[in-house]
Amino acid sequence: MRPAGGASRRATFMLALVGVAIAGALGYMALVDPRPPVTFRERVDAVASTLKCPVCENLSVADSPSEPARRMRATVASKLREGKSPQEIRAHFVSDFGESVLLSPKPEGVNLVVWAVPVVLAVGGCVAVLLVVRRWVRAGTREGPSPVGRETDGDEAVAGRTSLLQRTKR
Amino acid sequence: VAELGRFSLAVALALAVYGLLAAIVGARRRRPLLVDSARTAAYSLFAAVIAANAAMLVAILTDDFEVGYVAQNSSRATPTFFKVLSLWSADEGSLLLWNLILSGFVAAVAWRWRRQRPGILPWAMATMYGVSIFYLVLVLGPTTPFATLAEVPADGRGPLPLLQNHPLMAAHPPFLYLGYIGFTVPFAFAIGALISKNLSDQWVTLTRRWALAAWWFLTIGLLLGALWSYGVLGWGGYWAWDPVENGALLPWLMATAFIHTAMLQERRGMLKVWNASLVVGAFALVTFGSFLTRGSILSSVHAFARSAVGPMYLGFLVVVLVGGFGLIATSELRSRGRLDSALSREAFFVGNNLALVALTLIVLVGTIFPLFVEAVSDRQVTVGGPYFRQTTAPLMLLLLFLMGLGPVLPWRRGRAERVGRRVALPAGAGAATVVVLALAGVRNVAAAAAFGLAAFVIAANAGELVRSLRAFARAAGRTAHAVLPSAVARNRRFYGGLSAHLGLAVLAVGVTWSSSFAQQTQVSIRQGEKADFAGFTLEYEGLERVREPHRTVLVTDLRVTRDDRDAGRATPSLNLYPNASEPIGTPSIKIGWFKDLYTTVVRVQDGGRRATFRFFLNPGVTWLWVGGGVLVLAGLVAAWPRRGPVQRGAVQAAQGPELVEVA
Repeated sequence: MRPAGGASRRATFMLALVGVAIAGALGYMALVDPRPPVTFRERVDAVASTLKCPVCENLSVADSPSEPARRMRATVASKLREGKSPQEIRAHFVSDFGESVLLSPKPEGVNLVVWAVPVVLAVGGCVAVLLVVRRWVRAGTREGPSPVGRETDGDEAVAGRTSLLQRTKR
Repeated sequence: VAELGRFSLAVALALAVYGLLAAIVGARRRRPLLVDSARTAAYSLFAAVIAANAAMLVAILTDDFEVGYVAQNSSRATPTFFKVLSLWSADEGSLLLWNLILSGFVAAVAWRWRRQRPGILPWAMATMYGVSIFYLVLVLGPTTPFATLAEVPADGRGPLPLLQNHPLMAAHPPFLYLGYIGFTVPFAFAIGALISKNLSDQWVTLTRRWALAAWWFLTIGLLLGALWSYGVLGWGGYWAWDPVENGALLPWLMATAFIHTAMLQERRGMLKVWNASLVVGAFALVTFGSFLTRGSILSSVHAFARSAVGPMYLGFLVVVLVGGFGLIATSELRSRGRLDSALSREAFFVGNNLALVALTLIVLVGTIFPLFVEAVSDRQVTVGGPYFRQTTAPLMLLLLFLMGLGPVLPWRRGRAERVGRRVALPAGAGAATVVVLALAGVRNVAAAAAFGLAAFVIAANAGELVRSLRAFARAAGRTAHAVLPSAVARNRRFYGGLSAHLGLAVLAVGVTWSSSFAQQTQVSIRQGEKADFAGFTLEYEGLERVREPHRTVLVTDLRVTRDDRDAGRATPSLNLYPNASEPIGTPSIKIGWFKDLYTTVVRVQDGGRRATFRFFLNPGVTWLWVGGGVLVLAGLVAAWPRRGPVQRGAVQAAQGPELVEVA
């Protein structure tokens, strides 16, 4: 960055402060203060929200008001009381209803595709943006500043001012 | 009446075929009169499709159960209002509405360019007629809205209970369709430009406002859909990531990308290939979305082959994709990418586009993945809410970040110090939000990040609004308040864009808040008993039976108190329809600025002496609607057709030498 005046040093300082504050606050949330103890109802909902209600279009057992969903919630609750883990309960429902009872496909076999796609797209997209912008900026610097378009600066405030001036002239 | 309907559709098909051929022949042999007859055929086409829709409406309103569609979807007891809605409450009828809107758009394009005829108009008209032919064939062959029954039933079955449960059903599909079909116009002009080898940016300039209008309608359609889901379906939420919802979201994301990069092409001549691809992609996704709304195709691949509709859609989709991208690939459409600086609005538009397209592809892959798995193996999987929430959240946060930073950056080249100064305050607002949330005991990192970013976006965009208004006021020597109308009128895209970002940030607050901090419970209580929930006390006071012609409504009455103070009543109800085995619930929502108390009744036992309720506490949902409203108004500001002297520049730019004068 080129040397700048006091105003810009203040801005840099502010931005650094902002970065530290955000990192600190998010870190504090994630690490320092443990979450409050979860209630039994929340544990039931946590499991139920990963299961598909068999008679609904795409609602979870936690969301659906239907009768089968209510029964499945009751099953989840009783199994949790028996001391079963969420994984065991999910496995039980998979053996009863088949794999499609899980709202998120298990990341194994062909299902890996659907989990890999978002990662590849997000990472690939970011890399692509960086590469494209870098190449275009190089092209831009090589050729000097681009020809001036219809608006002189492109800064709308300035464009607006000129148009206002034109109007007063007319 | 059925014959009249069928006849009108056949006439419409003939007109569309004529329009297609006349436009192509006229453009190739340079016959202006032939081209013009192709253009005016659009009016007749529109009239013929109106006649077909009117025939169906008459059949419905006169209880003409000889028509199979009427017998299936209407009944004598159906109130007139819902009878009218039956026009689009099932597959065949909704395709009629689709054709109505499509031919309406063709006619609107013909009307818009009745005086100046850009050179690509004939090809654009030809493309629109081609699309029209596909949808007309769909209602003439594979689906038959006007099929008659050999044995006329005494009464119809009535519309699906869910669809006659709420008046919102009147507005949601038409807006959604206006949005979907509106993308045909930019698509047609892009294809027209490619076919006629017109490599200028004319098609973007000509259809920018059409694309914006389509985006606007689709935004309203999506919001109304969410409102319907929340107010009618009674599961406490507004977005379930089901295939039909995703099908509407996909073109919206593409269109959002396009209305940003269209500016780059207009201003800087960049991204020509990219923009053409976005428009072809958006139209392909519209076709896909239209396909998804045809019944339960996505529930199984095997349902797909059962009717001819699926293969026909697939064929059309292949034509659109191969034709569209093929034309782009073989054209000489190239644009050099160059940027003055990475710290410019242009560079951030590139970023937002890749994020939006990545988001589109993720939602698309997630939506069709169950079909793919079923096709390659005998397994059945579900890809639902948890998957979409997990995979899209990071990109949505990234988009919020870009939405805050992009507008602060100038076009072409930003200077680091200046940008730093302008960003300092919004960034401070975002950081302060996160710190306050941490101190207030929030332990949800993703939600806190979303709130912080939303604050950043709001501060940044509001700051730009104020800054530019002040600049205007200084130039005019008046107060910022006084110049507001003229400033907005002269820079609609600028102010519309900033306000749209504000609306989206508020909407994001509502979505994050309600999805991360909702509570719910289910209780079964006797008459006179109370239940405590999230600080409220709800007492079940009794049940009332309301008989209506088409249904019986069981209305429960709950007295709500909060801290021993009266907080009104909640009256969730169950609707019993003669043609439904299970009752359909209607929630009762006590809307508040910060939280909604949402109640539904699940079951009524012992003749109403006992009832099972679900209570939801949904925080922040109101802000979702407020943000959505701002977004819609902002879109209106940006898309409203210009009038008066300001238009001159735009028209001149659009006219150019390619304009064909017709005597």
